[in-house]
Amino acid sequence: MLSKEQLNRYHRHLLLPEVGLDGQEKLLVARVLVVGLGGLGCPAALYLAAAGIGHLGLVDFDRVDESNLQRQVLYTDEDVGRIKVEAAAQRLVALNPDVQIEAFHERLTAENAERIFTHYDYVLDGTDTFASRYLVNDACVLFGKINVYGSLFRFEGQVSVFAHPAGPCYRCLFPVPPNPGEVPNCAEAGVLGVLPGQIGATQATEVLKLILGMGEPLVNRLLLFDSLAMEWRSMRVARNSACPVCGDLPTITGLVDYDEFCGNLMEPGGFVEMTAEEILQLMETRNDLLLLDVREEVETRAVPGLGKSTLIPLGQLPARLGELVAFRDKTIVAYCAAGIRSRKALEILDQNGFSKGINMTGGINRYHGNLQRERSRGK
Amino acid sequence: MKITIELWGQLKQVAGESCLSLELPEGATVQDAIRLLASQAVSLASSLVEEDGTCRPSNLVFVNDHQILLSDPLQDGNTITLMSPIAGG
Repeated sequence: MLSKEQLNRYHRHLLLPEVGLDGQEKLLVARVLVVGLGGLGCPAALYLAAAGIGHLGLVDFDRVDESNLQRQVLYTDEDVGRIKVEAAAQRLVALNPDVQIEAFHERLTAENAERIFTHYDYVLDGTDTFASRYLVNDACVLFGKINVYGSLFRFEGQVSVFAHPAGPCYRCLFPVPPNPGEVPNCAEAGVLGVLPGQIGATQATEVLKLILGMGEPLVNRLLLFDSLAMEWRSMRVARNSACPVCGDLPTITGLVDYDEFCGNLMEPGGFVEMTAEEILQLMETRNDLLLLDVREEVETRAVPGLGKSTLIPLGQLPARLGELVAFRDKTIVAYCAAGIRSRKALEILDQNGFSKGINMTGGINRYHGNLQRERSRGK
Repeated sequence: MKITIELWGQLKQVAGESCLSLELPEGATVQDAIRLLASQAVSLASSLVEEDGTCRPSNLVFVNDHQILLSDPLQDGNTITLMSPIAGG
């Protein structure tokens, strides 16, 4: 039963016979998980909260960075450095107090996916790596959730509904990931700031349609959007009966190592990106990591490094590779001030047989900046 | 026969254009068209075919907006849409 305030808040929905009182009540008890609170997750979560989705789960390991503000419309300038899911939850509850938010400040992994997915019926995929796309897909298939997928590249986007009983899953369309480093991400290739608004809002539309059982959801269709041509295209796609996860004889019956599947950490040039906070978390469980600081020595005096690191400035790395030979089988975590030189270092290392690498996204300066902001907020 | 090729994603960026046309013999398959494109547009070659000449399985391929098999024969006037996977969010 809707309250007087709710009758007013959702008045424009109630006018639509396709939604009406029954539909709005369905939305108010619906459970939707948004994975990735970036370009796609922000507009999608805003519209889902505004529509009165009763239970909204938010998953993101990251913090708000200045470079996010061009498109991640949940955050303001003051949120820079804050944990994304916390800033997002605050904003969404302010928008609509009817919405109960569950915030997961963690990276979605094969280990935690079942725990995070279990109380939700629909998963909105707003992630930004191939490994996480396959993980979200497989978890949806295995745990019986519907995957409302969207992704971006420069001026283009895609939307579809996967893992629906009547259609294909992501793996049916993309059985094999691209080679590591072959397809640049938004941080490398850029993205038009408004594009995630269009794609994320389309994903949110599909979630509402699925909950309300109205219209024709994007099952068996892959919607393509080209913002330069300003053209939407609807491609027909179909379930692959030989799909290893949703096919007739599935061979994937549990979640796997998605970094390995996508070649990350294993193939040449396939190093992964992690923030300093994530690296510190990883170090608690892994003892095969080598921290490599590739800044100049003078920089380390001004800004301290992370834990016990080996210092080899980038320019000296080719001549000093011998010092790292003992660590050839370990995973090298490279960092510098901003995360650019460390990528070059990992490329040099990769060319010399050090194939397992992690690059510290945003570098050590970002980490210290986050610490400083937290202190100034009195946390 | 004349076939139109539309490129999306990274393929479009690498090629620098979104639409190309190919002349193929009667009976040619989708795979034949992709191989011919790889031989004519050198910048796209490594994104389209493996070293052994097989088509890269990570790309999505449609003919006239429908998913197809690479071995499917083409008809004059068909449009092949080739798309490299994207994951940005």
